[in-house]
Amino acid sequence: MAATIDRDPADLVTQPIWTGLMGADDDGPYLVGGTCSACGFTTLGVRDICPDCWANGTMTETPIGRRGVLYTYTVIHQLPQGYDEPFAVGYLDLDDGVRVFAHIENMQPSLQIGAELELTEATLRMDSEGAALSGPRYRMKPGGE
Amino acid sequence: MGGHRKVGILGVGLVPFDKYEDVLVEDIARPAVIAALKDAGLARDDVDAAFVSHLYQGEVLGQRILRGLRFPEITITNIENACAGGSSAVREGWLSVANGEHDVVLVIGAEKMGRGLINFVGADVELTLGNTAPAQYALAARRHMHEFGTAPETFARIGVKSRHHASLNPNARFRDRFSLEEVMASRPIADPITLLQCCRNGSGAAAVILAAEPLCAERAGPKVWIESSALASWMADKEQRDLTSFGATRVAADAAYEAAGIGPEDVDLVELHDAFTTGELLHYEGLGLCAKGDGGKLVADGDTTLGGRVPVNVSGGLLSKSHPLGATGVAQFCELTWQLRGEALGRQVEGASTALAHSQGGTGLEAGATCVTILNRG
Repeated sequence: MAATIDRDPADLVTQPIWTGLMGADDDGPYLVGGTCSACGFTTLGVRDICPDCWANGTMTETPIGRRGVLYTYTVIHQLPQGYDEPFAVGYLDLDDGVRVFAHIENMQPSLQIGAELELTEATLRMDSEGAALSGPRYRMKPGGE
Repeated sequence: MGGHRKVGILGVGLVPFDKYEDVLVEDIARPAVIAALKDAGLARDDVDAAFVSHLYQGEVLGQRILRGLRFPEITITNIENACAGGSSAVREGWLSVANGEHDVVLVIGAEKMGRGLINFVGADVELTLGNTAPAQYALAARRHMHEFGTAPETFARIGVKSRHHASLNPNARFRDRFSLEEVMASRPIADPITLLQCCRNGSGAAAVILAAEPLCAERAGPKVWIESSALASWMADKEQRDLTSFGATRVAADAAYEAAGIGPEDVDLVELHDAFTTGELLHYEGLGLCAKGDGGKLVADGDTTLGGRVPVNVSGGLLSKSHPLGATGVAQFCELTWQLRGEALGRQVEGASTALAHSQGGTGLEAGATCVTILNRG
């Protein structure tokens, strides 16, 4: 099972934006990945069927996505529901061979393709009832480029 | 396509895209059907089958449209392939005539839309995290800028071109011209995309009548034929793929060129899926209109402007016509038919004999459909 982040009671209104997307352990937050015990293929999330070798029930949970390299990014100004200010997003290439879409701490103009980023958990937006939804947000590694 | 029958476009009908807030989608679509049949010189009893494209209009749209025109109990297939649904429907109709299943086929694309960002039904993790359609095109564009030094102004120039073309086309919805400065200064949507580089939602309908060769040969005036059509899928499941080759354009284009026995240098004009200016530029390269990375040069040289080497979206495209999802791909065939017949008054590509239609759609950058069709005047 994924370790869940211990919350301060004051933060109880914060909910994960997507159940099962993130976990945390002694090394900090991670994305919940799945690795196939039959062929070694890795995915974001744990799938029933391995997309590569098609084995069923062989994928086991594994932490991925603590760090990644920025493949591309944009700042979204036309806001989807639940956002009240522009936010940066991008695709990150993880060491595991997976590419993920994620929020990025908005630090233009220093934000650059190829930057090495690390994962944090942050409030991303509000849901329709005003509760804060938290999820992955990457930031530049301290001392990084 | 060995063994296939030759298929022509016998008639087209367009309900120019607009809001149509108080009109039912069936009522939007019916005038397009009537216009296409009139253009073809046919009656409803001549139609063997219909292929009907839409995305969000509910069950059996084709039946709902055509019962209101007292069609008999013909074969009707409703088709969804996201924003490539219209071209996919034309392709299915073409195949059914080419394979001898039907002699006369009606293709309809119809959509009625509201305002704002498209709300995808099958929400995945990316959409939940705030990804949007313009952001997808912006993410691909930003990578293109990184790899090839493409400037934001290059994309914006495509917006200027679109309005220039639209100002010549009475069927276009947005016909005011804008300067490069105005396009660049319009409201930011997703960097580097500004408001005047985005298609708007729209409502509308288009219809096409396809028929086997003998019927088409009887039609007076220039004939328009479908030479080939290819449908490809992009299937990037969280993989580290090249996003500067957006979608499956190259795969679909290569297959369509090969089946038609031509190359990109033989194409006289193109209607392609310019949902956003950045997409148009990436598709230049995917369609082989220029080498990879040279899309910006094509724009700067005016090659894709009316009067240039290979005019693109002379109709104004999605950018200036707006984008009623399921109707968009079918409407491209209306414009290209008029162009190949020499009937595109005010915006005619002189001497056009080979044309290409391209459309694509999907959710996110991971799953989608791309259709490329080659038309010929004969």
